[in-house]
Amino acid sequence: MPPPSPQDPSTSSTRPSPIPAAAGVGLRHPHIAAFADGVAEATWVEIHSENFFAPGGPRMAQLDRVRKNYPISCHGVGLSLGTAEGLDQDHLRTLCRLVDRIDPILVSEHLSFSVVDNIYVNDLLPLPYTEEALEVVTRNIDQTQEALGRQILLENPSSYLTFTDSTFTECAFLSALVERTGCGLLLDVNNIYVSAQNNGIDAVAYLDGIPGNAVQEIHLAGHTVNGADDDRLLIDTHGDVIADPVWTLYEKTLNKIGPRPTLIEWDTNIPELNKLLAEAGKAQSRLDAISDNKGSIRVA
Amino acid sequence: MLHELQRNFASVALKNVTAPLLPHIEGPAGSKERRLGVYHANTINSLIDVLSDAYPVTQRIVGKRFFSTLAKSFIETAPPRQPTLFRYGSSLGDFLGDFAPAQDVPYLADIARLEWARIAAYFAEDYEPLNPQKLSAIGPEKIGDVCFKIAPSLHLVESPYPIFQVWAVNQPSCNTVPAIDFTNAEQGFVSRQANEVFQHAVTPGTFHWLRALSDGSTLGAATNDAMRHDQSFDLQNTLRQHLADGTFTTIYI
Repeated sequence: MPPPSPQDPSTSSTRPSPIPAAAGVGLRHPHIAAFADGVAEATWVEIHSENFFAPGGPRMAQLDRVRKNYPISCHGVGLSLGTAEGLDQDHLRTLCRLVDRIDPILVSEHLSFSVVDNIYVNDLLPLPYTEEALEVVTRNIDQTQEALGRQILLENPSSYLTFTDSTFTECAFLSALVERTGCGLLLDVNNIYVSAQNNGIDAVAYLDGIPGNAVQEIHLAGHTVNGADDDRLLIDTHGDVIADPVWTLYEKTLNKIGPRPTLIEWDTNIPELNKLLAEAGKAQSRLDAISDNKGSIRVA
Repeated sequence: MLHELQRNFASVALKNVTAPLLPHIEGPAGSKERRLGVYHANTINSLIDVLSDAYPVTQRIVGKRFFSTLAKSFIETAPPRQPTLFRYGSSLGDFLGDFAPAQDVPYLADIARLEWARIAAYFAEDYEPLNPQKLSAIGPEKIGDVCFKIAPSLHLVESPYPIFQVWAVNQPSCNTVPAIDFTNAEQGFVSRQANEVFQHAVTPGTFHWLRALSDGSTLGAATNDAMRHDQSFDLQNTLRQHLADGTFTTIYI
């Protein structure tokens, strides 16, 4: 199936201007009033789409106010693009309604699954990288992009294991999806680091395997370290400042692919807004350093 | 193949049943189980957090530890059916009604039902309250035949226990705890107006009146029903109060 036309801001008068290659923050409940009032010093925000699936009520009213003050990106955690049995059509329709309502600048989902036999597992579960999985995810992305009438970005997962069944590397799998569906990528640098550490993969080699042109957004988040030595596992908690090795990997990413809109995710142990914005500031200074060297790159 | 593997992974995440999936995971034996355990812990802990955010009073009454235990049992019985987690946990009240370890707190199930009614009201569709002039325009000979469409945020709650009082004294803002007579039944409603969720305990007459109107009874029939349960039922004042509370959206005959 041919991909739908990627969004082209130059030909669409209704689409707001693209997110600049600047640092934004995840919009979380304790901070929503500051964004609704427009007083938070941030360039753009990202929501978890499913948190705004209600037909009405105060939360939706606040989102409309946030939308007036900031560009919004919709980041889904529940569509379950990897589900073998196909997408939940109600979920897809509700996502379309949300996208119509707030006209987000980016729409993204994960390379993972969370729905089986109509049960929703509240986690982003990993896929084996097989031909069958590639067909399933291709079909589901095609269907999503067709329903939304726009391109979506696909995020690389954090993982704690690998499957004996896999016949593709994660990079090869993501590249094949980009090629087959025309989707873009949301590169989560913390996820690369966490997965690489947990599964004995070289994070820099991973970066080399990613089609940089397809990357339209970057995620950064904190993780925690459980256990030591052979038992050491990094857990993708989104509950802390970004770790130093992840900043280093982020710098390498920017050097390789150029500046991209970068989002700080902080979902547990949510800090004061200032602390969250300070993390965004750290990303922004790295983006500025790269832009000064390479000139501003506009990302649509 | 993929569907089977995903089904097995869901059993890991929700029930920590790892055996069927182990041959598909790379690495030495103990390590595989530990790695799968991360998905189980993430799933269960995040769902417990969802429930504890939805049910703060229920949790406060039984304590964090007991709540965590009952939440685990609930998750096993009723895992989420949809990814919109703000809708997850609607049946916790019914679950607690049958949950043996919670029977020492006989009002717990109804407290949970009241808390869920608040969530349902919060996320309900927006609506325009009925303009009272529309009702005034109906002649006295027809007024008894009027039916009301009820606000989508209105939820009726009743209990053999004083749940509205128990809820109120369990608010963080409550400094003085009055004596509560636990033999008092309470009934009332939760709704939302101007983006504020509110709740009121009401008399048995008003409660039956609201329930009859919600079920589509005419104003005349609902008022008769209310009077049967409560001879002191005051139609004029009750109607005025509910027009002010935005209980109705439209009228029809």
